[in-house]
Amino acid sequence: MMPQRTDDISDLCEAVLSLSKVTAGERVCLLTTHVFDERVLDGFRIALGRLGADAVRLILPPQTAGPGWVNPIQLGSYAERILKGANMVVRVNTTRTVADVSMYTQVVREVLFSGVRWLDVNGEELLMRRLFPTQALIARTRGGAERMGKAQTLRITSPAGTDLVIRKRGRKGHAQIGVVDEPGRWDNFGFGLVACAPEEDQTQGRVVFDVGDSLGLFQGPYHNLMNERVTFHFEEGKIVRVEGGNLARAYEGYLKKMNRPEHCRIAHIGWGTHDRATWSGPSFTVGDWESYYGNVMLHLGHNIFDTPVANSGLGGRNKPSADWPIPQHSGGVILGHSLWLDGEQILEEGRIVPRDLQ
Amino acid sequence: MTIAHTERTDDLSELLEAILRLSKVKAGERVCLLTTHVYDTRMTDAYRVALGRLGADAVHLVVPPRTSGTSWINPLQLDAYAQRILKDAEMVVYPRTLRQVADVSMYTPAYRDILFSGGVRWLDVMVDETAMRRLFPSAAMIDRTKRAATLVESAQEFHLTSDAGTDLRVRKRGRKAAMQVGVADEVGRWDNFGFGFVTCAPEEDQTEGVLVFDIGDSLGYFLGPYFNLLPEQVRVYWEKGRVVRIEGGAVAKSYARFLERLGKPEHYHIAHFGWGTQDKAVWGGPHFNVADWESYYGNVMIHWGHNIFDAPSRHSGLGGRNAPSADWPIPQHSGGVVLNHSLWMDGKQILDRGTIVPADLK
Repeated sequence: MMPQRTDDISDLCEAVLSLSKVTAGERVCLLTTHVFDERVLDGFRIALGRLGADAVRLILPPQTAGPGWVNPIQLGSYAERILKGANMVVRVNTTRTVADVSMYTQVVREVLFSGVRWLDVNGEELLMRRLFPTQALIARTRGGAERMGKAQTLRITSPAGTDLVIRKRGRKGHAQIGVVDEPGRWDNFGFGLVACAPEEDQTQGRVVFDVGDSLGLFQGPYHNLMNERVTFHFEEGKIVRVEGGNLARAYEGYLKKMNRPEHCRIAHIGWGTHDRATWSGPSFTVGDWESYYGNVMLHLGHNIFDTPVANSGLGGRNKPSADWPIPQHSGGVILGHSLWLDGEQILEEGRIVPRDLQ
Repeated sequence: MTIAHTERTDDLSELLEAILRLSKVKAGERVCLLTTHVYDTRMTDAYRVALGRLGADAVHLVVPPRTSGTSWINPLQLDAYAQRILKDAEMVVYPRTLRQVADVSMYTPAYRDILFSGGVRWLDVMVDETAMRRLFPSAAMIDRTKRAATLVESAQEFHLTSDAGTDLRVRKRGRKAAMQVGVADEVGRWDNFGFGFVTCAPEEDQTEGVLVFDIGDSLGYFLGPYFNLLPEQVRVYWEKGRVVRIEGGAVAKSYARFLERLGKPEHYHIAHFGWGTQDKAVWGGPHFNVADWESYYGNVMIHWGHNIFDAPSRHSGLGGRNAPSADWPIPQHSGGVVLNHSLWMDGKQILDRGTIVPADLK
């Protein structure tokens, strides 16, 4: 229930938390690294107080191995015990100048499987306001994840030449709507998308990133869109060739240099459901990029992240090959694609087809 | 275990590392750095760095404020999530250098529950960096305070006198002795960094006689900052453990009125009684703070108010029966500190006009 006004950031945070059904007396852990935006954390503190939550703030110190970061939450640590004792974790990550908790780790899995619900809030205030989820977004995304969960195969095509067939037998559907309203659910505030982890050795065909599509942070800020085509060729789930011009060669070199075999396989694929997400422009952020209505996000890399509940988590087998799994993903987002789940058309050149998923 | 003068602690984090080492913080230990939501980030950053260097499994826990109507209540409520988290720590370090919001109260069941949980030790650090440096405990201070605590533990009765007219008898049969030396090095021990004294909770209904606060003694915050020492005598009379009369001039009258207005019966009974052992503590002057005041070498601190605070460790906690009569127990104590007193413990002289007498307690 949106209040009439949310002038102060604490009012907005209260609305965010109310969507996730934070109730009086619940143990809520407001989690950050040691570098954080005090104003946002104050907003959450005030909001949690108003909701009567039994809340604390937990600040994780950084952890390193030599000069490199490692995960600031280690398996079996005091922080893990504290998080497992929560009913809900709200992780606020607005500064991103130090290593943050990685989702693709055993420790996060342990916390989620103990029945804690977990909301990431990666956005700044402007983004939280613009991408605040609507009931329609929630409904169509949940519906999409149900559909995704049941599907066996997924096919995408495009006029630019994409023709990719993906199998996902036994893999769950994943929804991101920014709401964690049951134990064990994880979500990401401001996002709206449906995804799944495909079977790692089954993807066949090619995907064409066209001019105006995106390889994400590979090209710097998100609004650095592609100015030429790049084609990924998959065989038995693995990228065997990256075709195109300078950009394709640079990308292929990047993957090769990273030398992580998991980055040659799909982590997750699905479509965006957020009608308020923008594509490029000054406010273009990761939330927009992943959630853009009718996009297809195809990430390569880790997909072991899972939760104990339906429509949350990936449950793939593509594990990190290094201790501190950064980058977790490569790959990108393509627009103007058509997508089928077991023969049912979901996208027609970037437009959502089934009425109940629109 | 104390730090040698040949070493350097230029950065605050190095000083804090020395403080934490005294309390035997080890690699892999679960350490909870606890603060309210108003804290000094320079201080918490330095703790983070020090705890990191020691390899502790540390987190910073921030407890939000709690209120009832417009009033503060304890930010650490019984059975709260924060209590669970603290009970699961092996050590709690509680820096409180900014005192702008209600702080965690020691005189509460939640606090007791944490200390008695069987695995936690707790170090309060309420003094600033300059005072931490000046009052850093020496091995000699720690040793004499430990020896004093052993003696106080078995003592039955104190007799306090002064040239100004004090003649007070305090009984403590069955009560433990507490020491503060700024070191929380065993499970169940609570301590307060920078402080140095021995104390105990007397039997609540046994104190008899008169205590004379002389010119230059202190009623603490009652007169504002600590260096506002008494300009005139205040005589406090006890019968059966209770303050029955406060005599003197204008200060005595306003102090009696203060206690009356406070309307808390526990503030008429002694909370704790003992003497200071910190030779680096000052009396008066610009650096005079609460640690100096409570710890001044050869002083006698007599607080009235709450004394239910206890800890399972031998020389930590009071274990009295003077419970808070209100939910949010502020002020916890009134009373003050007297100098130049002579003190006997079961007939053995401990202080002679403010000078420690037994060679092993000097």
